Amino acid sequence: MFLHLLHVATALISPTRAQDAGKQEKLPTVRELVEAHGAYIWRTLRYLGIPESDVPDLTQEVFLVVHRKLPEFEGRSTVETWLYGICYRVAAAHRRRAHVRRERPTDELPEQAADDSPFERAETSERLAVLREVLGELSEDRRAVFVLYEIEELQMKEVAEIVGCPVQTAYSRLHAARSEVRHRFERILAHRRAS
Amino acid sequence: MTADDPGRFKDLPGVGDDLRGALKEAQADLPSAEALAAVTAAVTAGIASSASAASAGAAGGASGLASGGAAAAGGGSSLALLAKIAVGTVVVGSAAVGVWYVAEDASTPNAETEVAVAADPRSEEVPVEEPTDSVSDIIPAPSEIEPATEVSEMMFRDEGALDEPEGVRPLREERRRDAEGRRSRQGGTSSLTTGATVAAEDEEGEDDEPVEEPAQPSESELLEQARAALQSRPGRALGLVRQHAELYPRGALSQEREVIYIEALIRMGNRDAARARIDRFRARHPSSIHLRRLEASLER
Repeated sequence: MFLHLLHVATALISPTRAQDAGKQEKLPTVRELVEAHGAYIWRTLRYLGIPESDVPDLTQEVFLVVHRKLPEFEGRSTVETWLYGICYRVAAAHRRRAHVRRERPTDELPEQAADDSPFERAETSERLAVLREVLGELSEDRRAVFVLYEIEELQMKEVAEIVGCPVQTAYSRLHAARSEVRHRFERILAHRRAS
Repeated sequence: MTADDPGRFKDLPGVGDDLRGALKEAQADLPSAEALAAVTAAVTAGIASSASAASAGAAGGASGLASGGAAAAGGGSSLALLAKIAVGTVVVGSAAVGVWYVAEDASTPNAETEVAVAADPRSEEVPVEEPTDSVSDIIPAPSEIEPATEVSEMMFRDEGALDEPEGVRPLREERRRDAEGRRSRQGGTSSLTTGATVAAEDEEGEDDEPVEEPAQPSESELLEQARAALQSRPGRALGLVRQHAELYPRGALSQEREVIYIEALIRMGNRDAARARIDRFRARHPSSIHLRRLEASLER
């Protein structure tokens, strides 16, 4: 689904970079990458469990890392895979910091606030809210594979490369995540509707 | 998806309609154009800021080299490290005369030590009455904080450690200044130190007086931050308001919270949701002074 965006991004050359580095490959500029992939990086961060209040900052952080690392990009993977890899590591580092600060992994509103301030429910469908809740309960490993494969729709070999595991391990994680998501999703949704 | 990849979950026959629908909604859950534009602007500003810090760092490095040369010449040290700066001494020899100082300790090893001393938060602190608004004024040059930048690069490759990516400092700095401001309002002495000191404070546990983040921000602090973020980062404002709702579900400022939330929706282009919430707000608070302003914001 990103191929057309990637083509747009890579078609726009940064002449300065190409001349300075003496490289023949055509690399997009950071701005082009933000424009082509920023929305998807934002979404990925959000579904990887980053609190919504931190997503804009983390998206910025991803692209500032991209800015620093772009001259070292060697083209061994696609720009897109490389970008998602940075996104995944930024999210992991942020969660470690958040864990120290004892922050919640997701920013779903607590039940007791629902009557007074139903923020999520007003703008988010019930089923999407449940999906977010279920994803927030998955282990980090399973959630990353599930989000990258099912929401971002990357190839499995790309997913494995991004999270740094063998492809077979990624398959196993996806299988386990699917089973967990389906089971919990149906249970929570049924419970909510019953109440 | 390759031939070996399994089909997507949402396309499999055994998946229920609700889960299938939720997955499709998640895929459509993208930020607004305004929110993305704010990120693009922040990235651009961050890159410009790091570029300006890098150029300042280059100047600082030259100065350090000159000082090192002067110290070596003045102290007469015959350490092997002298060889490392010999070229620099020749090149900047005439300049070194200008910055010559009496080196009391002849064992000053090299230019890097000069930088390290300058970066010591205890060595020099410049009290400033009011925090400056200019980020570039207080962002330390890379050479002042990370003489060996390769270290942070290695950290990134290793387990993706990204505790201190350079370009993100502007936002972190903004938060630190918020904390400084709070301490100042509480009657404490606020001292905005040199860039090197700021960098040292960013390193957890390495400063003499660590800046302690409040365990739980107050109602008013959260909403102040949310309101401040409305203009440039409405997505962040939404998040802060949600955080407020989570921490203070029945807080005294819940009406103000709702107002900020609606304004953020408007700024992010979600006018339908804003319209619906204004109507609900009116039903709950028919005489609120905020109603007119909210209506005006929506009409713009």
